Amino acid sequence: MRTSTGPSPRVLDALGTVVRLGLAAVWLVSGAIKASDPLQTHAAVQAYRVLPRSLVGVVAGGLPWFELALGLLLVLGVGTRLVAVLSGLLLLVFIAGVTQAWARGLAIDCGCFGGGGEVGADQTSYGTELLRDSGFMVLAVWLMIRPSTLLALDGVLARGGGPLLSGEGA
Amino acid sequence: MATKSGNLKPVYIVIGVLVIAGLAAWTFASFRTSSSEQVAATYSTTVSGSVVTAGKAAPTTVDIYEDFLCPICGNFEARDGGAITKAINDGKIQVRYHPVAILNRATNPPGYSLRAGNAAVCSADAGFFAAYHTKLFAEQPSEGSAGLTDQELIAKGQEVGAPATFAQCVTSGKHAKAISAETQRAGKDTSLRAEGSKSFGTPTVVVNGKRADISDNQWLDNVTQQ
Repeated sequence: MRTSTGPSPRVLDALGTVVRLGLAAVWLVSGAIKASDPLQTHAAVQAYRVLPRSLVGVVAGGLPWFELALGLLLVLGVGTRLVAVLSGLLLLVFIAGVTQAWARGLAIDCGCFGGGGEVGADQTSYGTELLRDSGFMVLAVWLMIRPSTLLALDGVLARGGGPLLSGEGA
Repeated sequence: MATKSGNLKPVYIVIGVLVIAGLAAWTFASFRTSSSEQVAATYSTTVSGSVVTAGKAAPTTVDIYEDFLCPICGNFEARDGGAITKAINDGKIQVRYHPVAILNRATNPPGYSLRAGNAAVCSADAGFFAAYHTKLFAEQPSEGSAGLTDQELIAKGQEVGAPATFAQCVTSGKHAKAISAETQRAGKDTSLRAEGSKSFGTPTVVVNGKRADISDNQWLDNVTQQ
């Protein structure tokens, strides 16, 4: 994958593992917080004022579980590249949501990790929220480009039951 | 499990997990706008200050603090309103509704929260609180909007049987002072705050003097099945 001048694949695999588990933690934490407080999540989705009332319920009901599923798949290391692409798409949706709220002059909390809804005009932190989402996007992009990591089920599946530390996933 | 066929398998697993997540969302969907059954109220109300007491004295007293502009209050009403009405009808709980106005600044012009709260207490004076309360939340204006004018509040009342006296009560802001006072009192009452929170928010539900966790959608069942 790399020429002999770059870092060894082994090092990149190890780094990739940290990236994968980091992104997994992001989804598991944010999904769990959202799933545990459906009313708050519903209000957070509503506050973006993008979706019609009927769709707000569907998105607010499904989003936490989708995030949890992405987190679980990343922990297991199954279909890492595909899950990274899905993660990237979801992050794009979040970034677009926050950006449009900022551009329209709404005063909301992103509800990224619980909370959410309307806040005072002086209490918004769109810049920080976008920066954070962009950081997560970097993790997702890494895994799209280089999904090979250690301790991944992908490696086992590809090798037909080879050692878990094979580092040859996806 | 592990075979040499490898490459396609992860995709199937990913799809499988996502489908399971979808099923979980469906099963656990504790909030669906249409899920709350419509229950006609058979209880009567009394008014004391700005507090509307619904139903007869019951083993369990539930205090509900709500702001008619607050979206979570609207969601809460959509989810649990029917079940609460039924529990009052059945004499299992007595509910003290505390309309408060914490979101006055969230409409333009400001003040919808206070005027809507006033109109709700007026509806209790006139004996059609339950229907009006349901209607105000079902047709809730959004934060940042103009809210509803007094005339619109009156019109909505007339659609659910308001008598002629209702309009005067709404336009004069008869209960506005009492609601402002109750809002202040609630803001200072630390027992109404969520654990770790430094401020009062809506909706806040108190069961027999103890703050209830309404993110648990079984909270009412836990109360009525005791």
